[in-house]
Amino acid sequence: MATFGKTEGEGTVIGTHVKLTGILQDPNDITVLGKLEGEVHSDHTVTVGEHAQVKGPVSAARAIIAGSVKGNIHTKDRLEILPRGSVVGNIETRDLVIHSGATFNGRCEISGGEVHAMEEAETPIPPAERGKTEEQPRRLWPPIRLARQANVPKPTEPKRAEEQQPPDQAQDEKPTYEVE
Amino acid sequence: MYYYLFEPNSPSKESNFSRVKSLVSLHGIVGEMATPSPSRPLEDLVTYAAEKGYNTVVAVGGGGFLTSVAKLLAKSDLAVGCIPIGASPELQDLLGVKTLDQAVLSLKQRKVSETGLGVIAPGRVFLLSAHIHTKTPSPVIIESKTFRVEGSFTQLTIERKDTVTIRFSDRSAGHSVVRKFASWLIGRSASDPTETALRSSTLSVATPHPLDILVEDAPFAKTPCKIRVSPRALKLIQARTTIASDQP
Repeated sequence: MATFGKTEGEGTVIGTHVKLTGILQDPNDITVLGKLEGEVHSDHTVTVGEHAQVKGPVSAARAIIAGSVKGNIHTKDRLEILPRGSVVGNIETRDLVIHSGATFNGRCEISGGEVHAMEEAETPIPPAERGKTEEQPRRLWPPIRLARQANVPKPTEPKRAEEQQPPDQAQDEKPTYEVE
Repeated sequence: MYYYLFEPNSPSKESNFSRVKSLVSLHGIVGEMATPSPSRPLEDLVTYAAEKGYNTVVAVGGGGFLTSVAKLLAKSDLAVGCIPIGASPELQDLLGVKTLDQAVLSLKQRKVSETGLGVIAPGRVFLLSAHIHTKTPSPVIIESKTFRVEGSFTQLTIERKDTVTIRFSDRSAGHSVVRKFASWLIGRSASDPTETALRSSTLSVATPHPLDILVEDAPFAKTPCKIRVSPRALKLIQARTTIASDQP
């Protein structure tokens, strides 16, 4: 999770009570804590803080949304919408995480390969608690995870119905999800 | 071929000047020495150094004096060295030296780096960061070719590297002290959420009323102003970095 207000190296930060209009482009990280109307482009991570508002398209390698974004988001690697985050617009990414409580209204396209699974991810169990897992209920976190899984089989888990389709049929389907 | 220029009107630095003279003699990099005066202004001395064929002009004094020398030698083939006396930590960091001995050794090793100079129109040059401080928050508009930023600040810093960087924050925004105290309690450094950092090749700064822009605590320019970086404008002598040996 991002630390708001801090960037790796020399990045751009839009502080609270600050409004930017126009095109913001920085090869380093961009953090928005205030208001931004326009385009945001970064080669690294774009972070939209909890009370921040962005109106316009966002493109970056990674994006972390804790505030409000009204516009299309395109990330090369990963997009994470945190519990209070809100996205109204279309998403194109390789790896998408939407936390419980987040709002997403738009069309989502997972690009860059096949999508084999739409599964509920579970919290990794700490080593100290591994012996107690049969008696204690597991917490689900995050609730939804859409991710490209690049031809890595999972021999220990039972296959789901949609995974048991013939490979040709599975590849023909476009990996697109619509969530409202 | 070193030409040494000593900061004028600095009686408190005289003892250090004497020590510098003995150190450069000790390291075998002695050269002609001069101090600007009304009869021999700095411009004339720098021109003289270029005409005489010196390849390095060394400013002995503070950051303001170095900036004055650097301005005259921008886009020149002459390298600029500095022996900082009474200088700010920022200048020491820029040069990579903290003591007189280190500074003289750095001159002897003569590692020349091309560095950019900040230019505030019309024609004012700065090497170290420039600041604007206000007691009460002042509105500010910062514009580049592609964006416009509106905000308010109590502290604004202008830095020059490859691009112009402007950082500003509004320390009066309320929770700064509380946040600082909380971060001090839990032992973690918290960033200021009011801080904004912008970078561009050219940035303009406008405030409702003209405000002093300070370099090394001395007035340098006023708002509104347009700032750009003149890249690789100065050949600056900096300390060599130490490379650790793998061998025990």
